[in-house]
Amino acid sequence: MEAVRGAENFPPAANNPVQFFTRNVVGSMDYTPVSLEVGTKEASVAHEVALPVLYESGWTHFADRPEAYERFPEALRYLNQVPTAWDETRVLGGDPSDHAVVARRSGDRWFVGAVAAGDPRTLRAPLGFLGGGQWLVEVVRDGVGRGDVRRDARIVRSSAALEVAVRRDGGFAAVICPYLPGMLTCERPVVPVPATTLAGTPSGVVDAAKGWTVTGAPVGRRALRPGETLTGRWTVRVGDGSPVGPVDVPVFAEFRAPGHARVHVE
Amino acid sequence: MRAFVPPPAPTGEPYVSDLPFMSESNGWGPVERDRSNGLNAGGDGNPLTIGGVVYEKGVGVHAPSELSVYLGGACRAFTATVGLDDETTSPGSVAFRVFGDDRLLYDSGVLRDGDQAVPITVDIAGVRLLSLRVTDGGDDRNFDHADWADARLVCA
Repeated sequence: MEAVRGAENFPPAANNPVQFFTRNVVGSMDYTPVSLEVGTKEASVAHEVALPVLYESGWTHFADRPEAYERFPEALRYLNQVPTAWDETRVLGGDPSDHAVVARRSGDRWFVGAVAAGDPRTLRAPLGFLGGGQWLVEVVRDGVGRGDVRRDARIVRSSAALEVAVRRDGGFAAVICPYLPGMLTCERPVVPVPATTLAGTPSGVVDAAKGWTVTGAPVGRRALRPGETLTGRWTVRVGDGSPVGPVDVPVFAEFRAPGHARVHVE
Repeated sequence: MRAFVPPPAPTGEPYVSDLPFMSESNGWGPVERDRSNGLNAGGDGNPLTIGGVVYEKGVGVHAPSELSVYLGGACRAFTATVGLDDETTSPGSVAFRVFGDDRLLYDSGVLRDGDQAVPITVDIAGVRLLSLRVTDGGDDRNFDHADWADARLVCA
């Protein structure tokens, strides 16, 4: 991932569609999106909320303070659902100098991010990329002034298009999921990774003897209770052909937790 | 975790630039062996030159810089002639510091372009890891091309 001249440099809102079509085309980028209380406040709140969908990063750092997001609970509710990595991307429309509309899939849900630069207009997101059947769409758009975003839901088929009237430098975001009777939201529970620590002794740099082998099998357990500790002991010997000087000896732990197929701790 | 794999302890009177560096950091491009720092690519330096005197051996660095060599307690003296290299067009300033196992053994104070080269001899008896550091002299790193000319050890 590479840094871009992102939000911390207070770029004009007109740069935002440009970044999507230029820098982000060639790789993940670190833009620090979603300035709600910090920054120039040129782009609308819904425009800012759409950026972490529009911009692919793999490791999105938000621009604002945690308390700022708590003052925008509808925005936070949407942002909490946005995944870190995507399975599929469809560009739905745009022009580098004017606007950008993208849909990105994670599992069976699609997220739509749309931003405009300049005058108010209607942004359009045709939904032809969806499969057959009914889909629940939740659209997040600007509310009153620089207040929190508003959310509304509807049931659509892939022949539909989202058409959202946006204000100057505005935008919208959406989440779309397969509709089942009775469903009211596409939200899924956000399950945090259990806090886990890995400690090694000795903690300082150790002089290594010759012979670059590891003695001692990995330790594992079928299940761990919260608070339980798993310990292991290994002997590492450095081979005659080893480079000299400081050498990193990686030690890590991995586990499965509800909602997380693989948690890696080092 | 980190392990340290020691190389063989040096013997005789080796030049520092002929030994493996255990660590290396430099303010602009890499540390150069037997050349001045030059620009920011490897091997792009000039002959080490302080006050018009050219030195065949030594280490050319750019502040802030640090490099270390493993002694294993086998050496008793470190000698060098230190100063700012003639290759810069504007005046720089640096301080040369020698550390033995993180203990300060020598500090040149601030040297400037145009100063005479300073011959130094440092007692390093019992030192396991010798660290040669160059600071920016307190006024930022620009033009701080520093030479550890003739940097050499006296070992068992």
